[in-house]
Order: sequence, then structure tokens, then C-alpha cells
Amino acid sequence: MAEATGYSCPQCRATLKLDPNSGKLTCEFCGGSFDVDQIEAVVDKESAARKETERHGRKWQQEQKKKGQEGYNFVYDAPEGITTRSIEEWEALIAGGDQEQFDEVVGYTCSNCAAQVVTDKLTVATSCQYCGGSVVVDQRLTGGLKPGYVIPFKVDAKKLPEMLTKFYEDRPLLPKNFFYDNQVGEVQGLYVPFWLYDGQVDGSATYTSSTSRTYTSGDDDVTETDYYEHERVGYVQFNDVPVDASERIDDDLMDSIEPFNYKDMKPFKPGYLTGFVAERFDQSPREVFDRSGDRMKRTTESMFRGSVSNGFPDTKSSHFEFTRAEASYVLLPVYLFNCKYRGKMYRYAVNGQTGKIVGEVPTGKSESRAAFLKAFVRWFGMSGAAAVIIALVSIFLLN
Amino acid sequence: MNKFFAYSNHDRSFVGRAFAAFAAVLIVVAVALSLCFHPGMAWAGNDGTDTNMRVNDFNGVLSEDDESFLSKKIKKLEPQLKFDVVVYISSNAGTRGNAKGFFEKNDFGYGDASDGIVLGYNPDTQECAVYANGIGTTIFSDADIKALEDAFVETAPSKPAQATYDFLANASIKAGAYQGVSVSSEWPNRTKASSGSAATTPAPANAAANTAANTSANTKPSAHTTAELDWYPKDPSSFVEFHNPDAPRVVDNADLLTDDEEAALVAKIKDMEDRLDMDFVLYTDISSYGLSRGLYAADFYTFNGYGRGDDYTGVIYFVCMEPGNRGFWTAACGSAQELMTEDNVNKMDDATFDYFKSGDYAKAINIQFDNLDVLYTNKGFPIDWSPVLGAIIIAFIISLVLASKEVRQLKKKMITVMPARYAREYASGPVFSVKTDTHTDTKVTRTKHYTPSDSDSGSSGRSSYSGGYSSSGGSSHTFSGGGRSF
Repeated sequence: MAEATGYSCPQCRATLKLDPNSGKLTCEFCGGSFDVDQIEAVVDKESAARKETERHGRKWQQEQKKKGQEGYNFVYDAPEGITTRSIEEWEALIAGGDQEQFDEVVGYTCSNCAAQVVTDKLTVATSCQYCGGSVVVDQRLTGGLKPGYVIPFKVDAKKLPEMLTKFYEDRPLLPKNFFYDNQVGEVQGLYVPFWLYDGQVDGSATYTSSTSRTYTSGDDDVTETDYYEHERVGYVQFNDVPVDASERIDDDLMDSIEPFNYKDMKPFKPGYLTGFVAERFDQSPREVFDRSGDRMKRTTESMFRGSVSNGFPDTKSSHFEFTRAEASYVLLPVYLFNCKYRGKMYRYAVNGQTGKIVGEVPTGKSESRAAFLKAFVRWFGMSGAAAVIIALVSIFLLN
Repeated sequence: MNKFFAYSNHDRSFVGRAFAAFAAVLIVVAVALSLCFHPGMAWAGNDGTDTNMRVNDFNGVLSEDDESFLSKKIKKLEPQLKFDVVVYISSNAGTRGNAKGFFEKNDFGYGDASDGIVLGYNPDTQECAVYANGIGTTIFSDADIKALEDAFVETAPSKPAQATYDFLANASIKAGAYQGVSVSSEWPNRTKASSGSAATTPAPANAAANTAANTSANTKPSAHTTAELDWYPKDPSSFVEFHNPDAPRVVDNADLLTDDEEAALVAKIKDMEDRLDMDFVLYTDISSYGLSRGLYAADFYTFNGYGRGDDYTGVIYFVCMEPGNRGFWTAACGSAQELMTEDNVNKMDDATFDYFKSGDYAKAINIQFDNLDVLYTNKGFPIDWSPVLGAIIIAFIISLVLASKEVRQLKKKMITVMPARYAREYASGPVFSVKTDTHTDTKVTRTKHYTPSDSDSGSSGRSSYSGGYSSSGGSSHTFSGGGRSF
């Protein structure tokens, strides 16, 4: 059994959880509140102490062995590393990774209550089903699987119902009884694995356009049309285009909760994961590159065409290609939940940093009709009154 | 908050306030316009007559600069002349009565006797009339007045500013000479009028007033003359007016109607006459016999004894089929003139013009008499409310379109999950190593203007109109009416 790490309160040894409002690790039992760095320092100190203990233990084991007696297991360290790599580098890293990291099911011992916690192959953080303590699966956060950065949760889950109410209120065509009849499923605060792509798209294109002017000359109406050719050679650089790296999570949902504010991004520390579920990637940067690659290429083409000032140019020829593509591995905060309404499931996601809510909502037919009628009455009232006044004025003047 | 409604109370009150402000602005504009454009009262001064100006051009014939310059020039001379010289250009002008009314109602005239002279010119019919008041009747003889009128009419169609200049010059020089003041040096570019001596043949009675209907625009060289008409008196000036209640009401010399159509029209006219106690006449002919259509219609009416009462009340509708002079003219006599306004003439002509153009003469004639029936039965045409209905229909359609657009926007708001197609917010650039814009070609295409013919094919625009003109005989017969060529 691999050992799992939960961060323990230095005051009372209860499991710490991350408070999204303050960004600190808090203890629900003794009320203590600590910076992540503070706890990391404690953990490092404890780890160093444990290593020293182990070293003494090994020494002691060896001495015991010499004496014919048993010793302790030891823990290996996670290597440090830069997290922005080319796609090829990522492929090599993933291919050469420790297979144990990708084991289907792994069992862990909860450090809080010593219960055995079973996780699936993607989980890197979860909670103990017995004591609710946070469990971070260290071995899936090492080597090539170690995220470079994380944006900690800023939105408190307790505020979600109020935010969801506002979301519904801004959807005027929602069926009237959706508010009362829908059942909101369990809300899951999840750190979703993302690849952030940096890239450069080089391109060359030739466009054609024309402008016309019309004037009168003598008895003739004259139309003059000027034709132009526009040549463009250049590049566009992109930074941190996000694509979620989880197959099971809906891509459109993750596209829709953009943007994230990268200013809040912090170098990854496992402490940020406590209290939340986190998953590692199961799609490599190469597998999902097309999603960001298409966006970048499309944007580059649009920017090239937009540099032509004459109206709507036609493309005579064009060629765009990537000359650089790199990715970094990050965890971004997302709340996921479902709503069930009249037997149908509606999926929702909330950006755990900005609070942006996206989700499927039904459109009520009677609400659409009522909105149309209301708008029509309002417009007809205004335009009809104005039109009648103008018509009466013209009749009065003519008569 | 009521989730059913998309707009908060704040939004609704804003919409209400915006609508109220818009409606208030429109009402204010409507009231202001009604005060500025009061119909009917041409003499009250609120039709735009500027009594500080001695040259008033209501038809825009003169440029603003010319109008202002000429007006200031003559007004400057008034203290020396002790005499007003006035010119006005209007579609109502052309008769001496009109000129007199304009002079008096606008308080022109110098001193207690309102000494002065006015010329009124009608650019539509190219006729003018001069009226002298106070000492002006002594300064200017009838021959002088005739000479001034003839001179103006000769020049005005092509050079209205010069004609006005000449009139002001000649009238002020003659008035100045009477007052012992020489102002000839003030008018270096004038065309001299006749000396004013009575060297011309005395004009026939009512000839001056008749210029209203007998203009060069309406009188074309004709193979026919009135000499070949047995009912036309040899000496119109000695014609004795009479009533002929048995005179035929439909005289279709141009043969535009079938026998049945003619009989039906006779019956219709009889019914109208019984109800309205006035004569209605249709007269069609192959020519206007050298006269204008307006004058010829008046002469036919007068010399055939139409009309009821002392003022010979009635209406004649004349259709002339002479090549180069085809057209129609409605003339009202006596008290019937009251409703025969320029607007009503235009309304009736608008209704018949296209039928004349397409050759459906019977239809056009019947529509005309139906409209005359409505006009005189209701003492005016009923207000056409169709613009209001049209406005409501247009507002309905616009509201449907705008409401649909609004609901489409609301439906768009319901969609929050969609794939990202672009990455502009993550882009920097573009950075170009080559950015060239080259002009490669120019193409020119020319198309000719369409120019409508100025020939006498007629147009569906405004009708010619004359008010208060006389026929060639009979001073009791005064007519008002108008018509068009087709």
C-alpha cells in the first residue's frame, strides 16, 4: 500500500482543508489558520526529520540486521522540474514515466484515520470516505505528472446556490417552474487538468479587394472601381491557450468557462488540493493539440485578413503553419454539477476562480411567446403612436 | 423579482419616459408646423409675406441674393419717391384683383393714400397683372400698365430677375419723374419700357384679366380658330350674357364617349344638378381654336348660356384632343369657384391623369364627375385617412420584426455552452515582415442619365391653376380652375 499525505494541523493534528476565501489552510477543529507556505515548511521540516529518522532507522536497521533484526520502508523524493515543454518532450516524458503512476486502481492509507482509501487511476486528490479527511496522492504528482501551476479555488462552494439563482434570473426564457422543479445534484469542486499551449503561427497570404465611387459627369453616371492586391507575411504568437486534458470532462463546457485570470496562478503545491478533488491528465498534449491549434490558426488567419483596410478582401492564396508549440501542465479550479428537470440531465460548470457559470438550460415555449408578445406590444405602442402622429401632421398640412 | 418578466421596473419606467419624451417632441413639432402653415388665408401675412421686402418670391423663381438685392434697392428709393413699388411671384398671381388684394391686405403703399404700384407674376401660367393705387392711378395710365405687363411677360419666363429689375426700374423712374425726382441713374442695366403713350389699340374688355388663362404655355399654333365656330360671337366684347337652361350638358365633339356612356353621363349630371342647384357641363373637342384650354372652356360656358343665378354658378370640364395641345381643364363659375381651389383641382387631376394617359377617356371623365359630385355635395373632399392606416400597418410590421429580433437575442442569452473558435485574447501580433497594398487596376463604367421629355406629353405633376379670370365676354362670368396636358 502506498502512503498518502494529508496535511495535519500543527496544533491539533486534525486534517487541514483549503479555504477558498482566504487562500489559507484551516483547521475545522481548533480553528487554526495557516499559510500554505507555512504548512509546507512544517511538512518539509517533518519530512527532513522523518528522513533523518529513516536514516537513523536504516542505520539502526543495518545495525539491527547485523544483529539479526528488521527495519523501516523509505519514501523516495519527487524530482524538481520545469513544466513548460515542447509537445515532443511531453510525449517522451509520459512514455518514460513510472508505470506505477498509471495503475488503474490504487489503494492508500489515510494519514488521518489509517483507513484504506481506494482511488481510480486519474485521481490525485480526494477525501477519505470514512473521516472526510483530505487525501493527496503524491505519487501521481511526481516527475512528468507533476503540474507546474495551479490556480487555487477563490469561489466558496457555499455561495453557489445564490450564484445559481442569479444565473437563472438572467435567463428570461427559462420555464417558470424550472426554479422549483429542478434537482441539483452533488456539487464537486474539482481541479481539472489543463494544457496551456504557447505557440507561434507563421503565415503568408495574398488578398484582393476593390473600392468604388460614383459621380455624375455631364449627362453620364460614372462608376470608378479600383482594384488592389495585398500581400502579408508575418506571424502571431500565442500564450497559454487552455485546453482541458481530461477525456471524461466535456470540452465545450471547459471552453465556455474561460477565461481564467492567470495572475492568480501559483507554482504547484499539493496543499492547494486539500478539500477538493483533483485529477491528473489522461490526454497528452499531442492528443488534444488540434483543439488549441485550430483556434490559433483561425485567429491568425482572421488577424491577417483584418489588416487589410478595404472592406471585405478575398483570399487569393494563403499558408499558415506552426513554427513553435509548447505546453505546460496546470490544474484549474472548476465546480461541476448536474441538474435534473423532467427526467433530463442538464450539465453545469462554474469557474472556481471567477465564478462564471455555464450550463444547459431549457427554453420555455410559453415564456418565449410571452416575451414576444410583450416586446411586440411595447414596440407597436411606441412606433404606432409615432407613425400616427406623423401621418396626422401630414394630413393636416395637405388639407 | 418576478422571474417571468425580463425587464425590471427600472427598465419599464425608462421605456415609458423615453416614449413620452418622443411623443411630446412630435406634438410640439406638429403644433409649430400648424402655426407656420395656416392654409387658405393668403392675405393675412402669415403665409410668409415679408412686408419689409418689396420683392416677395413665393415660388423660388429668383435666387435669394437677387430677391434680397432688388428688394433693398427699391426700398432705399422709397423715401425719395414717396411711392411703393412692389413685385410678388406666386401661383395665385396673374389677375388684377389678386394684385390689388395683395397690395391692400399687406399694407403696402406710401402715405395716407397708400400710393404705390404692384406687379403680380404667376410662373406656372406665365401671366402677370399690374395694379396701381393712390397717386399711382394718375402716374400710370392703362396703356402704361399694359406696357409694363407686356414687357414683364416677354422677359420673365427666361430672365425673371431681369424682368423684375426692369419693372422696378421703369416704375420707379416714372413715379420719380412725377414727383420731380430723377432715379434713372440708379438703374443702369434696365431695359426701357414703352414711353407710356397710348399708342396701342385699345385692349378688348377684360383682356388684362384674361391673361390669367391665355398664356403662351397653353396656346399653341392651331389650324383652327374661333371663326369657324358658329356659336362663338364675332365681337365677344359686345356679347350680352344670358341663361340657357336647355343647353346640352354633354357635348362630345371629340367623340370620346359611346352613345351609352354619353347617356349615362347625362343622367348622372342631371342628378347632380337637381341636388346641387348648379350646372355641370362636359365639353370635348378636337381643338381649343387658338385659345388656351382655360379660356376656351370659359368662353364655351359663357357663350352657350350655362350657369345658374346672377353669377352663373356651375362647372365645365373641357377635354381638348388637339395634337400638341391635348389636355383637360376644369373651370368653375360664380359661387362654385369657392371650392375650386388649386389643391382640389390637383386632387381631381391626380385621379384622372393616368386614365387620360392610357387612353381610357370614359373612365377618366366619369371619375372626374364623381369627384365633382363628392366635392360639391360634401363642400370639400373628405379627409383621406389612408396615411394613418398605412402608418399603422408599417408600425405593425416594424414591431413584428423588432420583437422577433428581441426574442432571438433572449434565446441567444440562453445558450452559454459553446466551443471556443478563436484565441484572440491569448494572441499578440500580428507582426509582419511583408505588408504591401498595391493598386493593380481601375475600371470606369458610364451610363447615360434618363432625361424625361419636356414636350407636351404632359406630366403627372402639379396642375396649372388660375383663379378669378374672365371669359372673352361677360364680366359677370369669372372663373377659377386648372388642368393639365396629357
